[in-house]
Amino acid sequence: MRILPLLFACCSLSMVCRAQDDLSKMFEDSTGHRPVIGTFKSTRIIMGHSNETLKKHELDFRVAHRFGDAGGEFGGGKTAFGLDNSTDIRIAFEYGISDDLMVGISRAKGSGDLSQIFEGLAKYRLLKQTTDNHIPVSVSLFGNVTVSTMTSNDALASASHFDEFTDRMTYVGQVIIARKFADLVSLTLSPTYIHRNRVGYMDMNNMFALGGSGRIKLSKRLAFIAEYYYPFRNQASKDYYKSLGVKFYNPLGAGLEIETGGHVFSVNFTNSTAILENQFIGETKSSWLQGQFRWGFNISRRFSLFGKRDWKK
Amino acid sequence: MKTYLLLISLLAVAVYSCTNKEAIAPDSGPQTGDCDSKQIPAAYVYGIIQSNCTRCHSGATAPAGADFSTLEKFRNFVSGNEATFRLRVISAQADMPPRGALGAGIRDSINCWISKGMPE
Repeated sequence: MRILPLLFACCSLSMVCRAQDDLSKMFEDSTGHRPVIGTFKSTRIIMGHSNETLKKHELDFRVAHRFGDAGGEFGGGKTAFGLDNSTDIRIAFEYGISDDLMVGISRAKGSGDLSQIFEGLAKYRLLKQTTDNHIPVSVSLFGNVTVSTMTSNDALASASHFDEFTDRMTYVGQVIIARKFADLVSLTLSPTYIHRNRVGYMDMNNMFALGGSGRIKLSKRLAFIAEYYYPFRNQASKDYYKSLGVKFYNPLGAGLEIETGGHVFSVNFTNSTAILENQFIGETKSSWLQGQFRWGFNISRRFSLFGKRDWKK
Repeated sequence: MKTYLLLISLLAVAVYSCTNKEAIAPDSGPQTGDCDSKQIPAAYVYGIIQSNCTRCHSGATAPAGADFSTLEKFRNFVSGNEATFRLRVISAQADMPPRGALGAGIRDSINCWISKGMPE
């Protein structure tokens, strides 16, 4: 008779397992094409955005930090390989309005022509890759607007001289095309447009750039990530700045992404000093080959708001 | 629906705020006449350099090889790297010293002194 409770427990357990199978159907859309989930673990890769958005009513508190040059003339042992300095810091609150639309606000120190920057952003998931390749890629649209609150420079020739409020504003528009390959590798291609209302002499108000990034899963919680942007700066602008001894470099970053349940922690090295796309794509003047790369991290902590209300529905 | 309308309104405001402005060319320094009439001694310029630069830019480990520990070394550096020095120290986009660019009057004086061939 003692075996009966054991049999009952086994049967109950099998029902629970079947219930888990049913749960997976929640991710199927109405046409039966199952979307690929978790192309990236976070809404950011290293410097730029991934295709991922926050879930509905999810709040993401983010902190990003870039230290000083690890090597080169301003790095080395005297600055603890850059740890004594910070080139940029960004603190953000981002929120999922729906499962496909997120918005956010942030404040960044800024590293470039402008500093003391406030940012408003929105990202929308337009397409989701499906497991049966009915839709082969995920596509997200990202846009932001920034406003610098720094004191206007007296010099008319400075990019940070502001005659009007709009001179303080910059914009980014980006299409993020992503694909996850066999659960191990995810790649993105990100055509990007940057507009700065006021720029320095011979700089570009409008600039296109092409970004590329990848993620290779190393274990359940650890992944290698890399990111690169190629800004299309015109030759006249390059030549002018070269004559002044200034050379622009393409931003390149590599790092590790660690997921710790609720947190996604990215430790990375980049040559770009700035965090916001508005600055790092067009204004990176530091080179990996000259030791001008830096340690940085992105921390993301997500909170589910209004969770009980959704549950009751 | 209200949220989407709000976002579209914000987008419209952002697009409406777009302008295309470019800063004027950086100042090439004082006019020749102004500079010609100025008498700027090397000791004055080097005093400014000592007060603002030599704390870091001194000795064999000076950043970018910019050793300003003596007037002669400062002169030699400026002679060989005039464009860089003008851009980073005395132009409108100067980023040196790191804690804040020198005042406009001081930058004009250094510019004039360099333009006149860095006289004694």
